[in-house]
Amino acid sequence: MAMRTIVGPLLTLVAVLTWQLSSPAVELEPISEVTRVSVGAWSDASELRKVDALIEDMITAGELVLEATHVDTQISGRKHEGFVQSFQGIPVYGANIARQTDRGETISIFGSIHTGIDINPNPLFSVSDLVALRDKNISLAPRQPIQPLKIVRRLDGSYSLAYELTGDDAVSYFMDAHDGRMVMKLDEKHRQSAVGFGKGVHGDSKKISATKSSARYEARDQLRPTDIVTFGPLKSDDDLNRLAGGVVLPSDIATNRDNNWTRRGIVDTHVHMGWTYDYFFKRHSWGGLSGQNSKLYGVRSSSAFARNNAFFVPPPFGPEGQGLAIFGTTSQGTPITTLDIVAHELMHGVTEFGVRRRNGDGLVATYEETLGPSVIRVDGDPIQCEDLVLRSSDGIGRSFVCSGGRFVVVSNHGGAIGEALSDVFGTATENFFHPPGNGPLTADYYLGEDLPELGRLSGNRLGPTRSLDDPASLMIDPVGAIGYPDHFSRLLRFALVKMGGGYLAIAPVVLVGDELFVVRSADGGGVHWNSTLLSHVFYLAVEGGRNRTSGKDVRGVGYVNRGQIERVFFRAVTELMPGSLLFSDMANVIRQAVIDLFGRSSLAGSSVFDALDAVGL
Amino acid sequence: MTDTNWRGVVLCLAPLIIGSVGPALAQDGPVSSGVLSINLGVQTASAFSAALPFTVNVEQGSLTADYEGGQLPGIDVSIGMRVWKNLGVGGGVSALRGGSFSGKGISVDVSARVPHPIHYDRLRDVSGTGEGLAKTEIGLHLQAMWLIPLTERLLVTVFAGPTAFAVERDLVIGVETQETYPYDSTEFKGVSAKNVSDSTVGFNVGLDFGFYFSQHIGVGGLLRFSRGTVYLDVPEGEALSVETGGVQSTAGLRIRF
Repeated sequence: MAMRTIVGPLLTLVAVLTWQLSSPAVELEPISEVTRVSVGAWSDASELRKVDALIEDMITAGELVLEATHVDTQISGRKHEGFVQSFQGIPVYGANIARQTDRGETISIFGSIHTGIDINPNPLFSVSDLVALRDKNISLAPRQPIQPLKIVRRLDGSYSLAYELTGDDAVSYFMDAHDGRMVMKLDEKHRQSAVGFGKGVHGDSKKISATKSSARYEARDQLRPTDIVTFGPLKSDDDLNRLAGGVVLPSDIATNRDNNWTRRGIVDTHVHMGWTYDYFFKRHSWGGLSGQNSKLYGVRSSSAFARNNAFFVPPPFGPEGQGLAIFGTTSQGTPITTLDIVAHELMHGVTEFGVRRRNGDGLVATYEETLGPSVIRVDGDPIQCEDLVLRSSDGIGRSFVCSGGRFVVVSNHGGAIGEALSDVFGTATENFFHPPGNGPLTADYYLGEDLPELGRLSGNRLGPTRSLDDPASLMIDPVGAIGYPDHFSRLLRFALVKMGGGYLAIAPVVLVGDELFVVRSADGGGVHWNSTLLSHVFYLAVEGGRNRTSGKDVRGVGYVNRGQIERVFFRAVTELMPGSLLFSDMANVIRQAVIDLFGRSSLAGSSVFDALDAVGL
Repeated sequence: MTDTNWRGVVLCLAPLIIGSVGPALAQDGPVSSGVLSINLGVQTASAFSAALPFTVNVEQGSLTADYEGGQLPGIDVSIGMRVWKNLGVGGGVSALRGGSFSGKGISVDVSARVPHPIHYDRLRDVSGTGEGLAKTEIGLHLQAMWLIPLTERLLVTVFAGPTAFAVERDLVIGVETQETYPYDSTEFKGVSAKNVSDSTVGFNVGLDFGFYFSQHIGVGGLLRFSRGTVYLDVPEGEALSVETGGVQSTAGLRIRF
């Protein structure tokens, strides 16, 4: 059969395809060699003891190293330990265990252990060798990981000994310590899209906590227990990169002459960061992003890079290595600074810090690799995996990754979980401050509904970015071919393509059954698009209702009791979550969290368990 | 009241007093020509309430202040002259200051709604008592008198007439609070006061009696009720209308000439 080429992203191709409502026709096979640990109060007690004994053995053997211990801030007597897997003294990236104990007795264990590592632990290159090798491509940030040498699992399941290098473009590069090649790169920008006063983007009056500095006022909030600083507006990508790299100039901070602030984007950025701080403090007794009142930094930008974009760069990026939330501008010139989006970005920081206090890496991209079909249909014609080529905009054709003739497809569960948590607490913060309603400055279960320029409804109409209550009602793509998934059976899986030098990349190609969809981006393996699986659980547990795909009904705790479910999710993030997990692991973490706080037989318990079941988790 | 206002009142009333006393000095009568009295005592002031807006945290709050009346200590110097039979004219100056003899000043019970530093429309209720407020009142009294010599040694005088008041007092214009993040409640710490003044013309009526040990020297008491209304400017809102004067009870030296 002749080689078949598709061009991606190619929107016209997507337009003629339809979203298949049935489950994938081809059964997917997992190819993972990672042992995932997920035992707790909902599971068999003997299983918990057995896993705990194995963990103890690994600790004794030096295969698990205690990274951190902290006392539970919500339940007296509870303690949390974070362990990182070590292979011959080298940490395994993303392999960690989070154990909860109650006065010495183990309550739950979550995490992952990589069992198939077979690699020479001695590097042939040093960091400086690699930097010299790559100096034209990578500009290093001032702050680098303390322990850069790691064992990294590649997308095809093999392992590399690699250095983690932090670029000043807020990208983490993993360079092979044996051959100097790029193993993986992670864009760390979590995208999402004295009292003064001013008006927000919607014309609403707001108080601004500023600081008088000689003849001007600075957007530096000193009313709250930690400094909240807003920079900007920065217009150039260079300035934005510099700030993300941690280099701050005095002129970066937003200022005003008379404390009557007129830049509406600055007003909303600064005020909404403060309100988000308030939400975490009041609802969860959590100080700042770290829980320890680390400083909050945000920047308003109209640079090209921040166009139609908002994102968070975690530590060690940002001023003082504390991370930086970046709020861009839509193509129409509107600042991307609505309360839910600001809270969404800052929640990325909470997730990062919350998980990092049990392991060193924070929440990492966790890919589930599976084998998809061997034949897919393009324009109605069956095409073999080996015969298909993806030609990107640079004109280069790239082969798809096949295993035994079948497409290898991946989905970034870890990233999607992080985005889901940010959506959950973005809407939770909005509901904390705004009255329920449908118009601007009211609260609902949409993300970005006050900024419809960013969202997509069917027919390419403007609308919210994501919906927690009915995910499939919104399209992931401007032409409206594929809806956001509301059930695990609709998880979006992406094909892999071969790049140069043995590097594998996630293609903007979604496989559904034996059909192929070219979409506008790979979305980091579907981190935003698949996030609605978990955020929809949150909605169902609060409000109740019927899942559109499974048809299962859930009785929620009700709007006035939504704080219970918010606490469950927050506990999951800050106390229980390991750094690497799949949706199924996260479901168990949430089950443990609700049992810890309210018990299985409570209304909150049944709401959460039923909501997870309704979504297929 | 400004210095200019006060000087204006004095200049207006002084010729009246001097002019009325002048012709009396040339007259003879059954009683002496005039009496000078120097008294110490107190004036019972009226309690009053005031509601004020105030701005803090770029938002308008409100307060209600209930001022105690208090007993203002002070001095009074009066002079009277017989002008025809028992009819006389006279005048006096009373100067009163503070809230009581203890020197604590005037106290005020305050309840306020204080704007939140972070949010609009989240006023926080707070209440407490402020102390040590100052008040100074100077009254310049012009009097028509009726002198009643009960005995050779005892002289009773009744009088009435206009009074020019000059009032200077501390007014509560805000509250001081102690608060910590998240600022959803606040504690009363004290009041913010501003010294304001005004002048006005009112009236006085009263009774004086003197007991004389000799032809010229004696002791006596003065009971005077005076009343006027001053308008005190505050930083925000309309000027406060406050009644001034009160029941003045004093005693002291009498010099008959």
